[in-house]
Amino acid sequence: MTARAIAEGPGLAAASLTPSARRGRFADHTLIGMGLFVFAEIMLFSGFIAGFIISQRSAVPGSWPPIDQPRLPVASTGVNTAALLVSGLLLFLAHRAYRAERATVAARAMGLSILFGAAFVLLQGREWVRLLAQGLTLTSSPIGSYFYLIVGAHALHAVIALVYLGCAWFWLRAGRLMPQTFGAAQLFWYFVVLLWPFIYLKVYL
Amino acid sequence: MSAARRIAAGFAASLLGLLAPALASACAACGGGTDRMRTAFLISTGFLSLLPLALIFGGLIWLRRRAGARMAGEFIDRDDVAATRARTRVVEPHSAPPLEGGEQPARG
Repeated sequence: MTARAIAEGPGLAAASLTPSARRGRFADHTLIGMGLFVFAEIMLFSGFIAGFIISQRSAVPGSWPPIDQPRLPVASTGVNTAALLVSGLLLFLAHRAYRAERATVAARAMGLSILFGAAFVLLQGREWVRLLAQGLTLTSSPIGSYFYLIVGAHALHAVIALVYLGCAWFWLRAGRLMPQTFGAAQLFWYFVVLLWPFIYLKVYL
Repeated sequence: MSAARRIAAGFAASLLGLLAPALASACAACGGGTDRMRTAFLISTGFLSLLPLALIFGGLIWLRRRAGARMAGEFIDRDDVAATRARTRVVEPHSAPPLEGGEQPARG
């Protein structure tokens, strides 16, 4: 024979749960996982940039950058940087619209964010092709090695983050986007967006 | 190597460094190169050491904020025994089917 406990309260299911189960999770696993990944990538890029700074300061004065190497395109990359920052802002606006349950506005803002992010990646790729044609390669000089390593790693992260955002956009349009998925995609893209100004300031300027 | 031997070896190395400072300056980062390079090494070392601590600390603060509201009622049910008992009452099933052979069902 079994004893059955009847709970009197706001809800049968809720009252029959233990306090910890009733409390639920206070941090989604998707967000925590993405946070740990972003943490690792921040340390990765910190190591890259620290190595770049030490190599730069170790060089004989006047020899960095080498005189036979093309100069990095500061102005055009500044425009690309602005496009990337606008992309981050649009994603933030999409998040606010999503929380306000305005799916159409959120999808539109997210789509524009993806377009600006893709424009950044494509324009940076165009600059790469120009630099390669001018003689700046991975093995031409230390500045070339660091440039393609750091900027290339950032571009790889940007492409993967754009793919993730694209998937989130499709799910949003279909009405199936979970808040934790959107949160993780945002976290990844904000990392890509906010990392780039540091790279621009140290590597390009 | 035992702990005592390790301590003795460390003490001997420190004493040697004090008596022959040129040996202690053999590090290329600390004793060689220009002031700019040494400064870059020091700043990079400090930055790379403090950054993960700051990230971990920030993450813990974020988790604490998210958990704060939900954890507030963590022990209310456990402490408020009387209220919990008043909300919960045990009901014995009255319609238990009889067992074959006329056996009485076990009570527990």
